[in-house]
Amino acid sequence: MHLVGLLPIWAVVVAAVVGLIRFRRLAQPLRYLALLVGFDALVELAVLALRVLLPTLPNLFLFPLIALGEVALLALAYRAALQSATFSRLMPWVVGAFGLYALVGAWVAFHRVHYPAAIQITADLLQFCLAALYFWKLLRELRVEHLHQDPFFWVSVGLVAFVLGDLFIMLFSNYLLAHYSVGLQRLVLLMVRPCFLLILYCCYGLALWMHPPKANSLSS
Amino acid sequence: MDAPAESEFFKLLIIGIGLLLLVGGALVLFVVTYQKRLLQQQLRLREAEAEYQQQLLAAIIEAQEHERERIGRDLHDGIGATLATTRLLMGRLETNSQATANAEESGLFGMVNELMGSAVHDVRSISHSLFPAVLARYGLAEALQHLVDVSNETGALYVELEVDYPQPLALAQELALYRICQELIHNALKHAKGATRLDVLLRQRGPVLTLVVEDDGCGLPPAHTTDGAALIKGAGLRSIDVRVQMLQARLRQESEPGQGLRTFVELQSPA
Repeated sequence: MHLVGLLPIWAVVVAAVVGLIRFRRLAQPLRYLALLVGFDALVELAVLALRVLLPTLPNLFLFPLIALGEVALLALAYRAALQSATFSRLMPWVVGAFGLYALVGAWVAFHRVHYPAAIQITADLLQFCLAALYFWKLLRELRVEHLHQDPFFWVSVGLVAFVLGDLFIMLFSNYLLAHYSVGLQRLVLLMVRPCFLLILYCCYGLALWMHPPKANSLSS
Repeated sequence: MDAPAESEFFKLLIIGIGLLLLVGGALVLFVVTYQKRLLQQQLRLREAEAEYQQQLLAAIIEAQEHERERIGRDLHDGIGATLATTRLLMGRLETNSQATANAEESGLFGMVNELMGSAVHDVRSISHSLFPAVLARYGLAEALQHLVDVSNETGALYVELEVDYPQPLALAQELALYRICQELIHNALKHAKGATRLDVLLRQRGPVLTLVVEDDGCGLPPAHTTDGAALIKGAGLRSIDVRVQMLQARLRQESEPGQGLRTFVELQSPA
C-alpha cells in the first residue's frame, strides 16, 4: 500500500491515543469527538486488516454503516458544542432518518455489489451542515475571542476541507468506477481522498490536544 | 457521449476539488475575518459604554459633592453663624444680668450656654463632614489628619495615621479617596467590636497609591471577605464601591473572624 494511503491511518491512531490520554480532562463535546476518533481509528485499522488479509471479501456494505457511526457521533459532539435547543430537538430525527437510509443502503450494497456513493454524499452534506452551524454560532454569539484557540473551530475547518474534497470525489466515484482503469480508481480513492482524511484527522488530533481557554463573556 | 481520457478526467477532477477547496478556504477566511470585525465592534461598543458609565458616575459624584458643599457652607455660614452670634448675645445677656439674676436664672443661663455651644459644635462638625474645607485648602494628607483627629476626639477608638504621599492627585480624586477613608473609619468605629486601635495608611509606591484601613476588631465572617465586586451591602459600602469605580481603583478586604479587618484601596496615580 502506498505511503499516502497509510498516513491518515497513522494520523487517526495518534489522534485516538491523544483522545484516550486526555479523555478525563476533556469537555463533553470533545469527549464525543474522542469517541469518534477512536471509532475512526478502529474502522481504518479494520479496513486495512481486511484489505491485507481478505482482499477478495466484499466490504462495500460497511461504508454506509461507517458513515452512520461518524455522522451520529459527530452530531452528538456538535449537539454538546452548539448547545442549541432547536438543534437538540431536530438532531435525533435527522440522524434517525439518515440511519434508516444508511441501513437500507448497506442492505442493498450487501446484495448488489456497488459503491454506495449517495450515502457518503448525504453524510458529507450533513457534516458540512454541522460545521456551518458551528461557524454561524461563532459569529452570532462572539464568545470565542481567539478562534485558533477553539478546538471546535479546528474540527469544523477540518470537516469543511474534508467534506468539500470528498464530496467532489463521491459525486464522480461511480462514473470513475464504471469508465476508468483500476489504476486511476486507486489513484483517486487511495491517494487523493486519503489526503483529505489526513487533514481531517490532523484537525481532530489538534482539537483533542489543545487546552482551550475559558470562554469569556463578551456576548453577555 | 464518450468519457474523457483518463488524464483529462483526473485533471478535471483535481481542478474541481481545488475549486471547491478554494470555496471552503474562502468560507473559513470569511468566518475568521468577520468574527474578528464583529469582536472589535463589540469591544469598541463596550469601551464606549464603560466610558459613558464612568462619565456618568463622575458627574453624579461631582453633583453630589457640589450639593454637599453647598449645604455644608449654608450650615456653616448661615445656621452656624447665627448660633454663634446668639451664643455671644446670650453671654452678654448673662453678664449684664449677673447682678440681678437669682440662682435659678444663673443655672438656666449656664444650661442655655452649654446647649448653644453644643449646637455650634454639631453644626460645625456636620458642615466639615459634608465638605472638608481642609482638603480643598491643604490637600489629602492634612484632611486625613484632621479626620483622624476628629475621630480620636470621640475617644471610641485610637486612630493612627501614616502618610507617605509625595505626588498629590487631582482634587476630585483626593475627595473620592477622602470619602472612602471617611466611610471606612466610620464603619470601623461602628462595627469593629472589640477593636482597640485603627490604623490608616496612605502610601505611594511608584505609580501605585494605596490606602489601607486596618482594625483589630471582630473582623468579618468568611463569606464577606471579598476582592471588590460583591462587597455591596449598605449605603455606605455602596458609596465606597461607586467611588472605587470612579477612581478606577481596586478594593480588597482581608479578614479572619476575630483577627480584625484590613481594607486596601489601590489605584494608579499619574506619575
